[in-house]
Amino acid sequence: MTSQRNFQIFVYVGLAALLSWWLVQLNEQRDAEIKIAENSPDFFSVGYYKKEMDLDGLPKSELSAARMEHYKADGSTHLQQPVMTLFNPNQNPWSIKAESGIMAADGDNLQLNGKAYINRDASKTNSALTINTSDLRVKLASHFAQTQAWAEIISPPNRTEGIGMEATFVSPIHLKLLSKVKGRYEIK
Amino acid sequence: LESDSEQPIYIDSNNAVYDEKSQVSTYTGNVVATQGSIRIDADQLVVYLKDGAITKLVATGKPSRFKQLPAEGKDEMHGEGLINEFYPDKNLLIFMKNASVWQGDAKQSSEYIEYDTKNSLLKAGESNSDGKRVHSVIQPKTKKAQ
Repeated sequence: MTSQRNFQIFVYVGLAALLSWWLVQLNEQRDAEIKIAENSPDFFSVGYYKKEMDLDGLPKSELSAARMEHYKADGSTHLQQPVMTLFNPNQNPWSIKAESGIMAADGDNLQLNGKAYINRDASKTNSALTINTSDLRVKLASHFAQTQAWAEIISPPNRTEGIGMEATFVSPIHLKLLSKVKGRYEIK
Repeated sequence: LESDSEQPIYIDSNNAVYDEKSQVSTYTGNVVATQGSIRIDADQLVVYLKDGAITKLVATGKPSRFKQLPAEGKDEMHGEGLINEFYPDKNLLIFMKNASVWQGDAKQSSEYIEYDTKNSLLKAGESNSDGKRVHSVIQPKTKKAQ
């Protein structure tokens, strides 16, 4: 009689264990789904274009990208083929292109990955300026950018390259090459 | 060499800063500037530009050194000064402060020496102070046959 009773107790305990294992599995799977949901974009846009004006209603910056994805988890915006345009009073705008980029939630820190191409056309007061580099970190509010990678500054017909660069894109324009600098100047 | 003045100017250094407003590039740290056979070594070299063309280079060092091969087969011309100013469009190099220029065994020292890098002509001495006036002209000697 007692062995039968023990067997019943054993079956009940086994069922309870099975049930709680199943519930744990269910919970883990739901957590995993939530995590995936959080780490996937909450909205995206194709052919993305954003224009920002300053307090006087004049264009301050433009940002366009082939594709943009926004992530709720950290509020960052991931961009493909971003083109950032920075406007400057009484000078031509600066155009910054890269393979991909991540705009932080604060909307100020932009990390450009892969090759980056920066350009400002010539104007009456300034010569054209082109910078080829990569892995550029841009601080939009202060129009400041820096990289640890190789960078080349071309102001035709002259050209200077080095490793590491710090650049200020608002007047007075200030470009610093941090090491292994090589300059080449044509004689007219 | 006579062709030096048509060559591009190359500058190597540890780091460099370009300030667009003043149109000045400052190269700092182990600076070596070359133009054809001209070579300038300095701690710092400031490049003054106008519409993208160099108007003046100012090399400073302890001292800043210069050398050039005036012509094939001639002795190299050497010079040094705490401050050397180079005007590529005028082929003019000015050595200032503890300045010396020498070629072979002939040497000139003064506080102010002008050197014509195209015609290898030298003018030493400050024009506005009689006390330190040194005048001399060195004609490049032909190198003795080996």
